[in-house]
Amino acid sequence: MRKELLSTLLLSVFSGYLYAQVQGTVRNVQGEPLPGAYVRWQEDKVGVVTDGTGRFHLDSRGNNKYIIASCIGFGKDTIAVSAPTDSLVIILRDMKELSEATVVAKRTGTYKSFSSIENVDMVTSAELCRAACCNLGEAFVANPSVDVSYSDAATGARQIRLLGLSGTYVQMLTENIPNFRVAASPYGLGYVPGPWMQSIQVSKGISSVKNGYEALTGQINVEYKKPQQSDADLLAVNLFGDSGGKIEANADATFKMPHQWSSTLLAHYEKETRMHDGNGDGFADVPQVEQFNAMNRWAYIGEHYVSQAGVKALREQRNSGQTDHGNHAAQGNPYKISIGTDRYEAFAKNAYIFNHEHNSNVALILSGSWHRQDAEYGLRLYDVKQSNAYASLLFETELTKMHSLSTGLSFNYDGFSRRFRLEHDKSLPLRHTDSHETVPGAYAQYTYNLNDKLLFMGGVRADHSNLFGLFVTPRAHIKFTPSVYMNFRLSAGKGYRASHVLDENNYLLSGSRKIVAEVDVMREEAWNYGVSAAFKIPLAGKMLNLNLEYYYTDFLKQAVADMDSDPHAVIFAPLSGRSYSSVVQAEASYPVFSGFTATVAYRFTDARTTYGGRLLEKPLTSRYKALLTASYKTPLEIWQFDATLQLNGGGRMPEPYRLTDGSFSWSHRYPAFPQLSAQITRYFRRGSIYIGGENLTNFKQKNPIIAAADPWGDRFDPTMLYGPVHGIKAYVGVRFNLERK
Amino acid sequence: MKKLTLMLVLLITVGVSAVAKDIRTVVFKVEQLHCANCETKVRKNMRFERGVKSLTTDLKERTVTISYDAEKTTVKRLQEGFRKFNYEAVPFTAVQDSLSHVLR
Repeated sequence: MRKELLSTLLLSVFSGYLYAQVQGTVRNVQGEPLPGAYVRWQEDKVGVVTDGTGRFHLDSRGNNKYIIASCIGFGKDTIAVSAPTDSLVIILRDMKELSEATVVAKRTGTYKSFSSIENVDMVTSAELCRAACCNLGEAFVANPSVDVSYSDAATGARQIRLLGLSGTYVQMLTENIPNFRVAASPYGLGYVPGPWMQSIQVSKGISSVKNGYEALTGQINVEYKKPQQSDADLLAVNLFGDSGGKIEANADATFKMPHQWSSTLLAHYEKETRMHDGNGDGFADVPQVEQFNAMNRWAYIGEHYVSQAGVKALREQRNSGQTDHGNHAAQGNPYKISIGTDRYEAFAKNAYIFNHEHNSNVALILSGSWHRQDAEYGLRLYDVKQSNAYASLLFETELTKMHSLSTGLSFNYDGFSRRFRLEHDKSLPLRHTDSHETVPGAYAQYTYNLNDKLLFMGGVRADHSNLFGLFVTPRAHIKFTPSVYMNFRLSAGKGYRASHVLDENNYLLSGSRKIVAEVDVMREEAWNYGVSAAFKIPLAGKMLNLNLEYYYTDFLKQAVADMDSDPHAVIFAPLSGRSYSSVVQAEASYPVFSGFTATVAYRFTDARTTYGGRLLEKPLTSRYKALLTASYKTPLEIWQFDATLQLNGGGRMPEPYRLTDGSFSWSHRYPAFPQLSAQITRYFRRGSIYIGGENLTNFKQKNPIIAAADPWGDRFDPTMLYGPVHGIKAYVGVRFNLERK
Repeated sequence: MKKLTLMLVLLITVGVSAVAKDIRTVVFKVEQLHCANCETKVRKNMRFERGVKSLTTDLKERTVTISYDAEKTTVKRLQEGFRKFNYEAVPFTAVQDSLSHVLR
């Protein structure tokens, strides 16, 4: 017995010396080997690099316990090694995935990022497939934080609302580059087709200073499908049609090329084939839109150098106005609206990683766009050309695990050239104006990380505008994670904007309200404070996700759109008095039973602005919103059922005026109204078929257009819109995906 | 009364055996199942195979357990299904728990 024990002991000691090496491979989550990954013992400063097959070997030296492996574009990993071995497999996760703490098992459509410092809602492509989601404007049906509404009943201009404030205060980004600014903002939500999107990140409150100073209430970033993704389809096609007569076709193809190059081509076509008048007011309910959209993007992923670039082209024609059918009053001289848009974009993002250890990298982001919109509203005319050039140079490094630094320079140029006529009088000459804004800037941001339990991110920007001079933007975020079951976030910071009255709001020309603005470009400045808490509560063996948040936005300067002081005008004037928005939101998500997830949310908004000396509730803004959304997937995920019910609270209408018979032009307040939508999806090996309906309760705003019978008159107003104009709509679509082998 | 009860029992037996599908379970050993993405690949592809009723994967043991309708497919056909996406599945055990067996 003793002899055996001794020999076993000797053998184990000797085996320790025999295999005095740790050998293994470094792979990615897909199981593919990662050559050029860096592996070392925690105590050593120097290590080894994996060979072409991802293999490495390290000499064991006594008390070595932990191995650290890292690779460009991937996160670091620290592995405990208890004994010499020859088959250690280290899996490194992709940089994008790293922002989430849990392994990608079954992702629900929209989830709150638990690990990022900012309060971010991640909308994945799974969520985008739950509803018709034809474009970015329709991607937020089941999102409790973002509201989407039509700005007016004539042009179909859509607006996002975040934290009770209009979308102009939300910075829109595509691929983390600012986009759809000023001239593109009225219809910009329709320029991003649903099937092109990989994911959307909605960040509420103040965001990082890296992307500029323009986010006052939040930031929405759209990530398009990328060619470098290992699971990119060879070809994906989507066809869609709805009962209103809209048809859509989308296609994208990805090509993988030798030497780490890849490219994706995306195309989109849509057409609203009919102009219909469901409510019989003689005006089209929905504008007739025809759009061509195409994008080509390239990526090069190297060991030290990552480059992405792309070009995008769009052409859209939007027609609305009085319908010709059976409209006698219009026959002689119908009121027509025609908006033609051309938009070309190009971008390039280059990153050079020069230090594996500290994730040190230098990035250069370049983007440019040329936008042209020619709009006719009856005899009123607004043509604008906007050219934009943007450059950003960033340097980031992790000094130690506790301290990280990011700093950079940026430059933005916007040039405008306009021709317009603001009256229905062809004899009036067209006015011409040109303007430009040049803003160079610099930023520095410091992040403190105490074992991932306490994170602090503080940044400051300094920019100089040729129009507004020098201005400073401070921003700070704190995140406290006492356990894996909860975290708390605090944020505070400033945001600035240049509001271009006519460029951003020329859709108002569709109505008879006179646009009164002393200056065309006005400064907007606000402070935003937020506090939020996220809880993961184990309940009956499953996790209940609970989120609570409160945001307060306080404007120091604002271009106030006053529709109250004069019911026949919209007066744009600088803020004189208080203007603020207070929002409290609670959201809970729970997988009730296997395959079934439900989310319920409630949001209360108190937004007030001083209009003509009076502090009034912001008009056409619902006081509250309640949302219930549910999704059920059969065990094999072959069938999926989704439904969303929204209850939009009532709100204030702009001040009405008395008509000749003594009654008011419209009510002082509008009532609460529901919105119900549902979809059934059937999955196949190579795609899916989906069928669904929107506005299933058929709620329509009665008389969305004031004085619709006389659009040339001075009472015509399509902007008193609080709810949907079109009633129930049914749709059907098919997706086809061809995977690469 | 006795006749009625007998008729009822007979009716139920016939009825049940008529709808009793031959559901069998097979456990496959799949060596290539080494990461979360491999699991997704198996689920994504195998769930569309004809006759598959339920599907579970075990990453640690590297096994895939499939309940299938023996009237619609066979173990061999399921193996072919794995080969369609270049995965090699070796049946561990074939457990038969058909209802008709119990009724006999």
